Amino acid sequence: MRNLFQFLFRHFQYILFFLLEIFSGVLIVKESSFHQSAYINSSNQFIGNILEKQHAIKSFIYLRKENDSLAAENARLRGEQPYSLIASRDSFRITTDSNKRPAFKYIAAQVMNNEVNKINNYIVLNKGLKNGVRKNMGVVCDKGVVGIVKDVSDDFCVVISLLNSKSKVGVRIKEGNYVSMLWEGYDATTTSIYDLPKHIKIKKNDTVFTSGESWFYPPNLMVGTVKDFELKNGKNFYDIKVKLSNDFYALNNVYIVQSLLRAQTDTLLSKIHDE
Amino acid sequence: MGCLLFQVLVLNNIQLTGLMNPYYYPLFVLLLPLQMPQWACLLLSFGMGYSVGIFSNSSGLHAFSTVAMAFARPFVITALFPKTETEDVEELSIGKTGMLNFILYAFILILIHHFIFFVAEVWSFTQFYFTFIKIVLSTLMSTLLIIVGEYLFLRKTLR
Repeated sequence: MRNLFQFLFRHFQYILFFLLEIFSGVLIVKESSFHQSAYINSSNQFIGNILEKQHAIKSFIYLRKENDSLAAENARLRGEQPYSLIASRDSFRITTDSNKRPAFKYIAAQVMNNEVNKINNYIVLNKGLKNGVRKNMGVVCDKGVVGIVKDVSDDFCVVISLLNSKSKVGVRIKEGNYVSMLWEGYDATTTSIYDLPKHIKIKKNDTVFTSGESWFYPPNLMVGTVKDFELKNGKNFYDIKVKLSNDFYALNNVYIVQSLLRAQTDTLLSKIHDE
Repeated sequence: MGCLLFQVLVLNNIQLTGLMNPYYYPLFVLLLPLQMPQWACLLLSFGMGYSVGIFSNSSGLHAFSTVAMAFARPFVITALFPKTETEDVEELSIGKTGMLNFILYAFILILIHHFIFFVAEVWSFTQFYFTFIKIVLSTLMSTLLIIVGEYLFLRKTLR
């Protein structure tokens, strides 16, 4: 017994080294899983507050640019208002369309912290539980898709960026053909699609839209354009590179998408899985 | 602490293409006092790596590579510096070891840190060349940053 203690004491630093490495290894695995999160991460209140202070300085520097992009978006939305439309007939009336009902609600948020050059990038936003943000909500901005909410605290949330090796967005190229878009960790402006079958004809600069089939994001939102594609010998699927329309280097104002219908599809699907 | 805040608030915002992300906080491990027992060094490095990682949701990765770096440190020190040189020195710095020796010391340890960090981050060999270039460039950049920072700091204390 004494020998054992002596042994432990003499090699204490090696044992400590292995213990610490095992503990961090467990942390790595925990953090890299999609739905589970570590005990402390950047949605934590304390960390969030530090990031918010930093954001206050940064946003002041970029104020001008942000104003311009918000003004542009306002102008576009104003163009879609009823009063800016000219009647095409002499008599008309404006009705709320009873054929349609809202399927998505949006929560405006600002980016507190944004990463683009890791393999797994995360974004911190300044809206949390108090503002109605929940796990697994999609996040978009005026130019495209941003990511999915991973973790929420009272005032902040952490978003799995589209630029994350685990992100996978349901998209379609032009009409139909639901495929999934992946990011490979090289370049913050480019993503890849590997499951479009070869009998479908595509061209360069074809537009890529969200498919909306999983209700994370609204359908028909532009994501990017086909930058390059290739059909390798003997393969049944294209290798497609997509140029993102969204500039991840200059991300500030984003919208968290609350899908009003996803709860229903989710419960239906989980019933099937339970059986 | 200053090291940590500088890393998190300033350096994490500098984006030099996807190929280069320098880290400044390994300096903390490089400058730990020589007389400090190894177990304390390991624990402190773990704390440093963990807290840097919190800000980018990768505390495991940072802690893992920083602890490995701290573990390798005594071996590198005994290999690089003769016993007599380090006997009465409390902590290493450019002034005490000379420019070249310190650069070499910093470079080797940062290379260890970055190699483990980026390999564990990708966790596959599919993008081998990309990762390899990333490791080399980031290591050079981090070493440069740390040496320049250390130089400025040295000047200030001498004055």
